[in-house]
Amino acid sequence: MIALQLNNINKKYQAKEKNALDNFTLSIGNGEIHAIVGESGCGKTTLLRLVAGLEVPDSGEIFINEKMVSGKSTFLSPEKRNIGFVFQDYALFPHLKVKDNVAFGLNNLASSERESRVKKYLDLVGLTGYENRYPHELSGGQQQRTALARSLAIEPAVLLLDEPFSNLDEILKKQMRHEIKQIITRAGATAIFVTHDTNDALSVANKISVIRKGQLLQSAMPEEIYRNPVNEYVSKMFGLTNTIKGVYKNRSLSTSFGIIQCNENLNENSEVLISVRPENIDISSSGNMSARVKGTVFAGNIIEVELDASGLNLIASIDSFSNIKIGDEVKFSIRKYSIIKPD
Amino acid sequence: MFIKQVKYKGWIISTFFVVALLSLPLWILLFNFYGAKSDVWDQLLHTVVADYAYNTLVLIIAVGLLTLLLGVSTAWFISVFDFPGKKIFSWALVLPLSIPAYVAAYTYAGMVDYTSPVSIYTAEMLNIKNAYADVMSINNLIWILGFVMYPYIYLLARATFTQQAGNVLEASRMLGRSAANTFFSIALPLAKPALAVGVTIIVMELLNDYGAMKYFGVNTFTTAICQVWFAFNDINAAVKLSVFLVIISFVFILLERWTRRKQKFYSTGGKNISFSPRKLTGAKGIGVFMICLIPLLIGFIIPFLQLFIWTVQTRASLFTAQSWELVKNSFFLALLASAFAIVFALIIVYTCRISKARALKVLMQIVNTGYAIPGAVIAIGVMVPFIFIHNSLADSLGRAYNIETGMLVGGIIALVFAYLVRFMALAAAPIDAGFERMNKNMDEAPRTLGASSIRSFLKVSAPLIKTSIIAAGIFVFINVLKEIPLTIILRPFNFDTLATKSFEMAKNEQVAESAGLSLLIVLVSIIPVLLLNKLFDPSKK
Repeated sequence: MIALQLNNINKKYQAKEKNALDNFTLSIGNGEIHAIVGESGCGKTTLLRLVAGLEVPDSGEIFINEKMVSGKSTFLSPEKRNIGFVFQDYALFPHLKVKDNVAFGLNNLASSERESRVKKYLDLVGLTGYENRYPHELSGGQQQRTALARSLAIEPAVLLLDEPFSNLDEILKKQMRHEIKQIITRAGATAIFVTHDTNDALSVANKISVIRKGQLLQSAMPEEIYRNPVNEYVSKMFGLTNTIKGVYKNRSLSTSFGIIQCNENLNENSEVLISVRPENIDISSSGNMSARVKGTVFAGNIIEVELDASGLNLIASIDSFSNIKIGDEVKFSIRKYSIIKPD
Repeated sequence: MFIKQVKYKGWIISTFFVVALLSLPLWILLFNFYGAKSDVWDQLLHTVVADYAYNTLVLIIAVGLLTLLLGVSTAWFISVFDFPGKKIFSWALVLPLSIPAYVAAYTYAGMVDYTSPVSIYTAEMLNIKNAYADVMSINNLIWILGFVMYPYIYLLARATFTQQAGNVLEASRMLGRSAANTFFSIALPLAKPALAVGVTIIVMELLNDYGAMKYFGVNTFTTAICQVWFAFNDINAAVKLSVFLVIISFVFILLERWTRRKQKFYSTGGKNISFSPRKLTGAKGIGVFMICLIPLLIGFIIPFLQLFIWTVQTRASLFTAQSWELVKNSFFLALLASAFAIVFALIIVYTCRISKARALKVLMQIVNTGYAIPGAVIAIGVMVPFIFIHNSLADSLGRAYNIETGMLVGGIIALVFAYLVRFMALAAAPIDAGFERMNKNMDEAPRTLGASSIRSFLKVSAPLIKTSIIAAGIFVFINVLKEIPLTIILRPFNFDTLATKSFEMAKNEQVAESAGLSLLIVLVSIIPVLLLNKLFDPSKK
């Protein structure tokens, strides 16, 4: 079942400006943890606010659980959409205790039911025992978990999270990525979160959509996005990559530094752009191309090696116990690559 | 039709209603200016209108200059120097604001009266028969008004000097400029927009004032409006005078806008670098101490002590049923007006905030103009529709049911309505500021949790801006408490407040007897004055 469907959404804030969202279409399945990734100003927060009903689209339709919430002459106000929204700064009510924050959206339940619901979700986020604290008495991570419990407690059709990790320091961020993923999975919720940090997306989401200038570039599983990015922009966004130009001839690509085998069916003599991840450049004596080592960067588990292949700079990653020195002449081959569209 | 905005229909309709209601008197005045002919007006125009304009202009220029001198100098010394008593002066210099201009006027006049200790003592010292000086001149009034109104300038200048300009002032000193040089080349130009605001507030107060002018016999548009109404019962002449006054008022507002047009350029944008004041000792320290002491002495301590002494002397006549009645009347009116002002201000400000429609900001501006319109003018603007209702009701109802509709005109309803028109801005400003400080997500988070905009407002927004709401209430309360021109025009027959009674007694040569009432007004006024000081004090944030 489709939890959220957006059809041809357009949204512009000011007449002179470009569209924040430009004919945007996306569908999100039930139970997905879906990351929306893009640079700041790409329209990702607009997307969340439109789904939540905090903004009105200029045109297009939005369905939540197959019910239209926004469309021509239809507009359901936020409180009627059954969505949960975790704000970037959490927006906890400073004058209410943790339990009252969580209970805020449950005022239509009988009090006994409300209490058990609050207990359930505080337990889920691991805040049992903190019921009577005020938000300012909590750490950053606890505040975020309170916000999460508050939004999950109404058992929303879709949970929306706006930059959920941007307010946390590096160490806490890693921990919360893991926790949030577990909490959402255990709650069985469908979640959409926006982020500009691809590491957030790769480690938390089970599906990722990349947005640029209000348009959807690619929507796929994390592995797919990483291995087969649709264009140069996406390939560079998710980790280091080598972008190489080549010409297709007779089931191979000829590049400035050598020939790469190619099994795709392409037009003869067409220009092709490929993306090669550093770990797919294999440095070994059996390689069919040669290069000179220009520099090395020790990164703990791996060494990033900068190669000069006939004047073209390439980055390869090798095991950190390899013994490689600047100035070495090495052989290499390309294990895997993906054809991408130029930017 | 495609929906363009998130809907807040109820809020927007309520806002339109409130704005339409509160701006009604203004429209009525504007449409009546060319209305009915008035002989009184024709005569006034040919005889005294020029005098009114001249007096008003002289007062504005002279009081403006005096308050600038007093306010800027004290603010500068408090900001950049450390001297004996500085901490106390910092807040005490604001206290003269708690003495209404009319109270200061008759307190000083009473002090040098020929039966006063001052006059008797002077006469004995100089061995002359009578040292009674006629103080009732526009010149003396200018001095008195300057000394009770300068704190507006002081507050705004101090905020600029310590907050906005702190780092640039330090930079100037670092580049080798002297303190005096820095003051004229950096601090004063930077403070210009704030000073323009301060002077505009003072001009509004001067245009509004009835008590002080009337007591000193200085004729201005405000006293004239009251006079044509009381003496000639000529509403048309009053309307025409009112329009004149509104025009003067708006000219000053436009002037102020014009001075501030480059404010963006003036704001330095930097963070407030802690500014370390220079320590002054010896003669310089004493000099600055005196400069700060004089305005405090003349603007607050002397009149306060005199009121206190008179109150003690006349205490026998103070605790009477009549005084109690006055307190009850005043507090009842002030509380009622504050409550309505808070509700109306919350509706308007909250609607502007959540709807994001720019057109609504204009509505808020319209409501705020009430504060720029002198009380006497608003009274006339309110009276016109009430007279109309009265006349039509009196005709039909009076004949049919023999009902007395007289209480409607000049009734409590008209009075409270007029207070709202005039003082809405005082309630809207702190509430607006409170909302500004509140996280925007606090409006939206409740909505995503299924709360309606009303529940969201009541459970989250309103509790979070509680202090601002209280401040709004206090500001309206105190201004209603000391209001005179609007009250004496619209009050029901034989209905008095602390302010009107104290003024009436002072006018009837009972200055000492009126002191108790004035002192009560002053004491209550100290609360909002200190609150204002805190709001403008950067070190308290």
